[in-house]
Amino acid sequence: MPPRQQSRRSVGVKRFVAHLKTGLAELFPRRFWLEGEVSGFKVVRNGHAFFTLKEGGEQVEAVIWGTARQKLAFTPEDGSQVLALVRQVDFYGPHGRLRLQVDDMEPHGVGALQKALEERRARLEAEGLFSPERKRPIPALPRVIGIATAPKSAALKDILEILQQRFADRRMLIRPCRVQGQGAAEDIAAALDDLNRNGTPDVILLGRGGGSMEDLWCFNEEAVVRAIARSRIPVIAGIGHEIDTTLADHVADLRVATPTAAAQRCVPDRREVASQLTAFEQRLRSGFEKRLEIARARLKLCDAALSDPREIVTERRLRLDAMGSRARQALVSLTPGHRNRIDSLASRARQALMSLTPHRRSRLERNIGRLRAHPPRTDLQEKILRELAGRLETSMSANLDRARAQLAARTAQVDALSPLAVLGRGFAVPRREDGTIIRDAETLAPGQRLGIRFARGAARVEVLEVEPGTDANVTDPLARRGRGEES
Amino acid sequence: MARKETPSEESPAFEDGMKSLEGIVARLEQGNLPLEESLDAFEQGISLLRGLHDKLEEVERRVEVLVRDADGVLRVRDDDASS
Repeated sequence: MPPRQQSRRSVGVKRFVAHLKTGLAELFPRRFWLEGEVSGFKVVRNGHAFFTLKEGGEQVEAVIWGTARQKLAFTPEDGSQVLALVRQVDFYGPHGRLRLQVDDMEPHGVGALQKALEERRARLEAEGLFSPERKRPIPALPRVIGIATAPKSAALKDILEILQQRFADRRMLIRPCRVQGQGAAEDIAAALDDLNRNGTPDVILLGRGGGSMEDLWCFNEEAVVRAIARSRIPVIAGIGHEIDTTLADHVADLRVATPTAAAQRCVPDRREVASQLTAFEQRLRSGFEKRLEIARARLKLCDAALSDPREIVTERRLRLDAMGSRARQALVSLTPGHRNRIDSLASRARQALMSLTPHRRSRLERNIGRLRAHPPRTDLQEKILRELAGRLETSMSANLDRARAQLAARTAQVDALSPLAVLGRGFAVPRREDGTIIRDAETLAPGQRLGIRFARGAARVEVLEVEPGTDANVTDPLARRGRGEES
Repeated sequence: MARKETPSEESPAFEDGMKSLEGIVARLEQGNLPLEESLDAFEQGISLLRGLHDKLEEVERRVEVLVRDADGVLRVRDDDASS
């Protein structure tokens, strides 16, 4: 009946579907989270997955495209309670059904959350991200400390305080980031990447104070785990309290219980460093003493063979004295503030001065003046240094005294062995004209001219006759005794 | 661009001092330096120790903040809030 048809208004299915789509788009203009139970989850060949979301007796069809599905933190199963992020509510023409396009899904409810976490942990572990071989060593004394944590947080305050207490001479570079809620994981990952891009930190502290499992959840996110794994700079994680363990803790190069502990682990206590310095000082001292010992031993080798041993010995003695006073100056300057000790040194020095030459006295006076000029220092350092310097000074001066006594004894020995002293006992030294000493008469010929040196003066003589003697008829009793001992 | 230099250029860093000291101690311990040079080394070591003790007592801290400006460029600026 054509006339009736004309009076009715109608649209084609195609236009109707197009209208429906437009209407749905207007009704749901933005993405939203939809809560429901997964059912019939089925992955097809191209990677997309089709499923329905149910609640009670109601259900809607949904699809998640391959790329989005692969990024899911868990594998949805029938019965999983989820939050689905719906991008578009669509009417799919070819099937004539309403269909949701889902971008992302999260497990919903604590049990589901734990299950998803366990699954993620296992997957990342299988990748080797948590293996001990991957852990980079934490530098013993980092110059620059990168800090990724929430700005103005208690955790940051604690970290800065600890670092200052322990060892303040460090630079701290903070990259503030959110550590809780939506977008926190991405921000933490960006913070780690930024600190790496800046490149100056030697170590990164990743910290957050305690909170609920939900509060700390971002530290379980894959984005954070991967950012820690790819960081070239070693990462120390101090997240939550002792009992909290997140995936970030597993992947970090060092895991400690709290942000405070992370800071403590990061730099040594200044007392530890002080004792290291003490060890160096002791080695310095014993190294120098050892060298002095060698010098003393060499000095002992000076013997009668030297043309004038006393001169050399005197010169060496002066040098040793000079060195001793330089060493003492160096030591005293290490504890310039310790007036008492300087005063006692000065009074000891003054006593010693009574027996000194005017020249050395004025030199010492100058040194004492220089020592007094130094300003006082802090207590802790002074205590350590006072003790060390005292010990060093004591042993140095004892050694120098010993060296001096040995020198005196040595000088006396040298005097006794001097050729002049032997001549004084009535012996004479015969020499050829070229100056060489004659030890065997057989090397002489009658008529040869010789020089003889006596204790006082010398004479030139001529050989009349040579008696070629064997050693046996040498008349010198000393020489004979020498032979007898040798055979 | 991110600033690379540290603001502590006025004196050698603590670890550099430690390293020099270690070298001096090792040289001295070998025992084959001439006497004059061992005394020089000894004096140098003592003066390094003095500087290190000073640094150890330092209390001033240097805190900086790494931020992205509007163009997304990383910048380092002095900290003014968290200290």
